[in-house]
Amino acid sequence: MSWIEERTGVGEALRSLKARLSRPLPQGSAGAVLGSVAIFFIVVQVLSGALLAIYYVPSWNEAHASVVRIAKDVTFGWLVRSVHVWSAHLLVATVLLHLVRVFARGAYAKPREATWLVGVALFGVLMGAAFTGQMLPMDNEAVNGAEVAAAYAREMGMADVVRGGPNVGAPTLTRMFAAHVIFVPLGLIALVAAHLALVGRHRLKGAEPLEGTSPVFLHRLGLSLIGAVGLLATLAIVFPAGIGPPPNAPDAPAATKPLWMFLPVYQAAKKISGPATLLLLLVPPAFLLAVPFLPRRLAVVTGALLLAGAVALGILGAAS
Amino acid sequence: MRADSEPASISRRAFLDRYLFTSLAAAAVTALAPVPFYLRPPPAVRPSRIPLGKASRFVPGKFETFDYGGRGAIALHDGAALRVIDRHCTHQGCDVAWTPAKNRFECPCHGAVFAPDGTPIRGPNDGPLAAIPFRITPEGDLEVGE
Repeated sequence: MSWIEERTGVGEALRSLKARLSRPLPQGSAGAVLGSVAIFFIVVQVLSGALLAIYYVPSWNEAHASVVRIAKDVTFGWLVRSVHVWSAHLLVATVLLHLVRVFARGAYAKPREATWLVGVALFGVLMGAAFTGQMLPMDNEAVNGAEVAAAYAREMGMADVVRGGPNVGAPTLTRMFAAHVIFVPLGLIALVAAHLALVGRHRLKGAEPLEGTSPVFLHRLGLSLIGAVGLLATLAIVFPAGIGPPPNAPDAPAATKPLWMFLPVYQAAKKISGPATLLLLLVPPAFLLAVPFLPRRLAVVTGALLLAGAVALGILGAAS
Repeated sequence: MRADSEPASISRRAFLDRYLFTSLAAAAVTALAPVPFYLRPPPAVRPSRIPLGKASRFVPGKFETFDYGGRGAIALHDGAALRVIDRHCTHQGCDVAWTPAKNRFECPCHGAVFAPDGTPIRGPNDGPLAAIPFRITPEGDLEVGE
């Protein structure tokens, strides 16, 4: 072991990491593990996604059959796919809780504005990952989703950029595949690294005066990860991910609903048409990016209204 | 290490450390266990009833290669009978080529030679080429596969 240590310093690096994770926490920081749990789910996504890429065929005509093969024929293929799908849901849910918690604590205030902005960018990349990921099985929901995205993009004159051509077709899938397996992971790696570096630099809000070491964070993290693994395994095994019929199948429903995280926009878009639909897509990110620079009271009121509106729209959308 | 060098009891903190580490390590091992099984591809499904058109178009000398569940296959009439043969060479698995001029199969890899019905004639081999089952429907269509 000393041979390795002398040449790599890996042990020293681990001790240094452990020391950083052993700094004392301020009061009311039980939720501070949410970010770490989100990173755990990102790691699960990268690993399970790499396994899926072994069998997935990114071709307009063969994608659906290749996903069916993973789900039905490949040994444990259903499990790998279910883990990838459920971990995606849990990741977005964890990140939403993390975002709401940091917002509620006002932890984005000076000097942590950059941490918040990088976090908002991470949230955007994850929404993009969810959208492009649900496109890849090429079932009827995927194709409908691409049509809807192209309709929004049309308002910005960017429909061709989404579709890769005048219609949703083979080039669309190639784009979604490249975005999902190359651009999304690159963006995640860069942004997570920046986010963590900033958290390490500024520590948690209220932690500045605290000195010494404490095992509390690592213990909470360990327990949370055991919980996350248990929840993920239970969901993936009890509720294996399904796959819809191909888009041209006779039993394919004409209308489908988007993933739950897109339901608020889906529901609101039923009442709005034309360029105003852009507001649905642009207002939430614009607000999130502006948060650190708004007066606290204005940010809290606006944020609470947007959150309540999104929850209400999401419930209406799910029930519709 | 001698047993009595272990402390009689460990602290609550050390217990929690070990409990968490062991649990997570066990979870990681469990999660990785299916991966070797996952990596081995499932056998290609042998398709049934591949239609090859009218059987009558396979006049003596006529041959046609096609894909049989991911394996190269050929339907041919060698002058004596209609045959449907798996082109997978029994030596090392290259696709044998049908040589109409000599009325035989020749393997491009190591020169094995097989008769039209798959029987080995000479060269390295591990038995005859596999014959693929086929039927001719009452309408005269050739259907390949079980």
